[in-house]
Amino acid sequence: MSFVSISFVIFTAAAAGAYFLCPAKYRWCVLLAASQIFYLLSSPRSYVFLLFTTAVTFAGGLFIERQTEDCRAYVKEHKEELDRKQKKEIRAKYEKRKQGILLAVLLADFGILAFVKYFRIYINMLSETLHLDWLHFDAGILIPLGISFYTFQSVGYLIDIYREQYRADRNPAKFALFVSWFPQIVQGPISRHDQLAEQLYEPHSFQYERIKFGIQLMMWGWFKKLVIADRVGVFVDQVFNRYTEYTGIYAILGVIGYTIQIYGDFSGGMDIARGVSQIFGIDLTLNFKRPYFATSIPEFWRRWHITLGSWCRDYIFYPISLSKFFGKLGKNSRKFFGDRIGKLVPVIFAQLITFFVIGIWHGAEFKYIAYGLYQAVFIIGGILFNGADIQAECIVSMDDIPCRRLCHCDFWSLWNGL
Amino acid sequence: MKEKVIEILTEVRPDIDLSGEVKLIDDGELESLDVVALVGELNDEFDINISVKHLIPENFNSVDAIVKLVESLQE
Repeated sequence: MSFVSISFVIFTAAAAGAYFLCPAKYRWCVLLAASQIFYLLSSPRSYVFLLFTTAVTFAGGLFIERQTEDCRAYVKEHKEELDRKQKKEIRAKYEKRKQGILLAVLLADFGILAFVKYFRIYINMLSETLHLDWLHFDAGILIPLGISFYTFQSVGYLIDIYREQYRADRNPAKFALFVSWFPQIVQGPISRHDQLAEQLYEPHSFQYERIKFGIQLMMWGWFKKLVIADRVGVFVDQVFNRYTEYTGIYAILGVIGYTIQIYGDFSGGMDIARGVSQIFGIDLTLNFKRPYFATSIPEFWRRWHITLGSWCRDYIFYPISLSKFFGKLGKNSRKFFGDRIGKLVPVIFAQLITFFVIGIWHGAEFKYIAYGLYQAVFIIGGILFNGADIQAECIVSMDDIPCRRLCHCDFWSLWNGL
Repeated sequence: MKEKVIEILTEVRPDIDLSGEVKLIDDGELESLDVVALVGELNDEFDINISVKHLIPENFNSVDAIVKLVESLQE
């Protein structure tokens, strides 16, 4: 069900009506039902994948937390008998079990994602490259709606439980609501359990002002999508579909247009998601903060698709850069590259892997991986040359803010448009 | 210990605002690269092991919070 369809408006109105008419205690059930109905209306054949990820992650969270609790109980019970070394060994044993459960669930969740989103494409690419006509995977599997978003959101929850940041959800139905909340399943944002879950579960009263602002936000989102993005898209599609004919200024305008189109469409979708949630009294986290006003690539990634960036920072960048393996690599690197660069080696590897993931998140084709890695090159360059008084200047004065904004975004949209 | 933590923070980020009026993580004073550098320096200086699970804003939003984290890991 598209955000820009009449049926979506009717669906949201009906869900809101049911929500506010329902007794407070069961309002979260209305949200759960609405989210399941939305998914079944939008992507019925892949509903089973959503259920699978929800069930496996929910169970994984409980199992991991059980190990944490058992460990604490054991150490407490045998406090007097165990010395420090033995306590450390006991904790390490339970930690290994937790890691085993975490790994199993990650393999299950990401395995499904990899299979439905990437497997077919890679098999067909391999077939074309090696001229293996017999090896072909037909498009019999649909990509489940929002699979990247709900998988990342679920995995984030599981890792937070592993890190003992909060208690695991004990109600499978409530957890299913957290995973499948309908306004965000299409395009995000990727929420965190401790930010979103309680808001979903607790009842919210009918408040005219809040609902009015929610509807206004939705209308702003529709404006961005329909009036800005779709109109610019007519020109952009013409240029990109016939790029051998449209060269020179047309190519440049096409790239600029795509920059406007992608922002209008994506952030417009976010506004609709946030507006719908606001009607129900739920505050979804921001995903855009005027990204084209960023003055550097790292800043751009703190303003564009914020929740993807912060997810990758917390669950990929930090674990890698702070791991023992990369810590040792950093120490050894200091011998060859000196203190300053040596210390940066773990960070550089972590950034490469993080942006590889960001690239592949967008799609399986090589252009997306290249897009992620070329972003990494800018960021790693910034890390390496920081303080070296080297400044890359645009050919037009960098004091011209619109030019500066478009200058670095055009490279981004150029790759995106390919 | 507090003076040492302040010294490390200003080394990692010379322009950092330590007045206590801004939260170092929530208000963006420390970026992710600064956090990694800071953790490395704290681990080396105090012989502790700050791991990913300690990387929550509450542990890094102020000098006092960082000192509290270091002390808890030294026990």
